[in-house]
Amino acid sequence: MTQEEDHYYIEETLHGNNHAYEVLVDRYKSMVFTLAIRITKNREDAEEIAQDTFLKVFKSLATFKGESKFSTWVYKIAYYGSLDYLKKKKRQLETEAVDISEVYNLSSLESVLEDIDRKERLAVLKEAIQKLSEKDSTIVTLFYFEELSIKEIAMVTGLTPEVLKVRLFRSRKQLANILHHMLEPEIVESYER
Amino acid sequence: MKDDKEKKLDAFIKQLVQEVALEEPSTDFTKNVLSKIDEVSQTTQITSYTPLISRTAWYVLALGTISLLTLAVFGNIEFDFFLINSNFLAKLSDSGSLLNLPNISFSNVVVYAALALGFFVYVQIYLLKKNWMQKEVLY
Repeated sequence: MTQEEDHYYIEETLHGNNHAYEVLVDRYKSMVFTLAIRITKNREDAEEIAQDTFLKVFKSLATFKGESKFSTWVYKIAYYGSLDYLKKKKRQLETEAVDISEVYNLSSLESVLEDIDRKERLAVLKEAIQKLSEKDSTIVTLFYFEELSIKEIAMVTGLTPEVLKVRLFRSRKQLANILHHMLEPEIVESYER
Repeated sequence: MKDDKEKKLDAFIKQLVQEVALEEPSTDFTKNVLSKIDEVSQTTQITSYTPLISRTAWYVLALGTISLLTLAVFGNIEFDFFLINSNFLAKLSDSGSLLNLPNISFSNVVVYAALALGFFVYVQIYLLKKNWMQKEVLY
């Protein structure tokens, strides 16, 4: 997934080759869709937003100057598209209140998570990430999954690097706390054993 | 000790997020996007970059400007435009009555007050910016 490759397909698309655009869509659809889910917390909405994102990208492809990576440019469009969508729907999402007091114990969390089977573990982890605020879960995904640098995330979200660092620091703690609350019965059980 | 704990948490979260991985959109996602694009490109041609002023227009403009300039410098044109009329300008600088601007002087207090006002406006900008940053962290 090099930038040069992206560039080749962008050029091809601009010359009217829609199959080239298909490659780009396939390459980035999962990330765009995931970002939309992280923000809207809803699969149907996310699907619509992701499609709109790629339509917007297509329409303004000629204005992409290549100053940033193509991927970050696409993510930015997806990020703002999702936030706009939320604003339009005026939906207030329920997210966990910010709490960075340390109630969790990392080693017991780790051992409990290891004990439950993979499918259930995935469900728990997904639910925990979705409980973060829309911005925080996006930032966490971009940083830990896509492994973008703080600078690149700043480009996508428009937040300053300082703000991002604070948010990441807080999200880590919050995520561990959320997991602790979700897994509390299992953790207690493991103590009793 | 604290750093170590932070590092462990960082590694834990990283592993967790990577395990969750990405969500997959529906199987005909790409097909849907492309059919939407086909609809769009049928109604409007793909918007490739076309400059507002074309190359030939620039040449014509350049030629026009150059010829006007040469005409102005080397040509001998008589004009009698009311503002540039030399007679009028001479009259303007001679007569004191036309350019009789009032002579305003400020006391020191006023000058200091204006400077202080300017200074505090900058302080305000700084404080507001900080405040907004804080809000961005929270919401």
